[in-house]
Amino acid sequence: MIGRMLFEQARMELRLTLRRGEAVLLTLIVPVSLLLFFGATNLFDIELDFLVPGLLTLSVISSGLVALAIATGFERKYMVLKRLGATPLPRWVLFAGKLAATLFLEVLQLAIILGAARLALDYRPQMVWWALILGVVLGTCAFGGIAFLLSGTLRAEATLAVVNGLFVAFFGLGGVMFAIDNLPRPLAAMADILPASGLSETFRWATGYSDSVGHGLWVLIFWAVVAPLLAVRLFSWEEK
Amino acid sequence: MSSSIHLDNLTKRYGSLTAVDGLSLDVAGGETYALLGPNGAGKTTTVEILEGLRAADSGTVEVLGLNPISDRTRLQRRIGVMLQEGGVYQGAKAREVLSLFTAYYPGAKSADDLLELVGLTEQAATLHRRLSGGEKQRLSLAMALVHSPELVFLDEPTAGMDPVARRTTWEIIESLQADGTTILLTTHFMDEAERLADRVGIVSHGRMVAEGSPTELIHARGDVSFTSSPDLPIQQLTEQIGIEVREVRTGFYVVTTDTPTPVLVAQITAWLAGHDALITELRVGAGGLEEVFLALTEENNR
Repeated sequence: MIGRMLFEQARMELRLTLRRGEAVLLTLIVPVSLLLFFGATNLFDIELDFLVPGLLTLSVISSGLVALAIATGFERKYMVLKRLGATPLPRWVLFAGKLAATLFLEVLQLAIILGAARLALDYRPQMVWWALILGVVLGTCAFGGIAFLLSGTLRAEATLAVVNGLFVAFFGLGGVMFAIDNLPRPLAAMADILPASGLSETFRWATGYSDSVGHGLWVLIFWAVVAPLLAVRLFSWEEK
Repeated sequence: MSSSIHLDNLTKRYGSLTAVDGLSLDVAGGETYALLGPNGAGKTTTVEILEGLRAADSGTVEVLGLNPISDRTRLQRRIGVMLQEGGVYQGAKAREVLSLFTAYYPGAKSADDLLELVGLTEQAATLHRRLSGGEKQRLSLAMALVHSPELVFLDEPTAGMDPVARRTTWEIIESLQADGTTILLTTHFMDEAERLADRVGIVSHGRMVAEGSPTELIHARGDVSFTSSPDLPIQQLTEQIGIEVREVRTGFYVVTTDTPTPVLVAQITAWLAGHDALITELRVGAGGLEEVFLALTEENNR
């Protein structure tokens, strides 16, 4: 019974996401377009080996934070979450279904990025696969936690605005396409503790760009623990 | 027979606002009970506490012998819920929503049967956000009936429906009644309550102001009511007959009394004649639930 609920819940989540044009654009089209554009041109002089793991981070942010938070925020606004509270669906299955759909989408995104990089740009990294999986799981916990924290406390419209702002901020400061070391000093110090930089660092290690992972992994683990805990504490099922 | 719903001295506050103020009610198995009351009377809050969606501040709450909060999962398998509005994935098709819900309950009906039951077969592939208001209501009703629950909560089930859809919905509710389903509904439509409910509770400011079968409520009052010109100086009439007269709606007046007499009626008509006000309608005793409702809720507002 629980297995079927979880499967159907995840299927519904995934179907709804793939039906939302802006979500498809942001999660599936934007990252691969950036890859092909900056990989094929020498604009900004970004190394391909640096670019690809950064775009993997951007992919996880787009689905794990932006798409998930917006969907959840509007479900809360339209009282879907409240209505599901009046069914035998356990609350944890609702969230597990959301995370399962997000993980599925992320695997799709990573396959597209890595596949396109290999086919179009002859990208042949020394992959540390378990580190890639670790990055995806921790990244999903961190960004998913932030997504639930925002969508469960703010009004849907505010969630929409905040996650779009965060997407831009993480894009600029999260070591996605521009190395944090090149940022002005105070900005770099702040960028260093963002979950996005932690994930970028983890993915650069997983794709063999760097030999080891620095404190970025710990930053990521911190967010992956703290954000979900805060979300569980503060999430409310209805807008006030 | 034990009650399907047992509420005793229920209280719920939101900040300084007391939404439900010591409400008690019992609904027997197989009975249809309608909660009536103006907006903000506490109907929806009461229903949502029974559904386990909100916690009571104090009082006893038992639904099918269970505590809606601590026995949540067990209770949710046995009750059906129709929210007043919303509650459905905007981007999902009608059929997909019902299919999802069938996964929540063992022994659920099929999505196609449910669509047929509420007359939405043709809208099976329509996105929820593209359904009309009445169609959304019917989908919401179908979501409450997926698992043939023994107790159903319907919060304003026909709000926003055209007359044909209302009648269809009433027929669905009547077939639930025929199957022995217990129903708690809230409504603003007195004809709906008169037609469907075995018993009615009128709620105002979170308190029960009257309870009984529609017939009992209608016959319990001896009010004299009349329709005439609006804005008459009724203070004078009140002083003359020694009973308060109120204009509860424009041009509709009620004299609240339990013991109407021929003299009283004569005094009223004479006074109106003196003011050159034509009576277009005069009745002793309530003509319908609506008059009882208006009189009671208006009295409670003073």
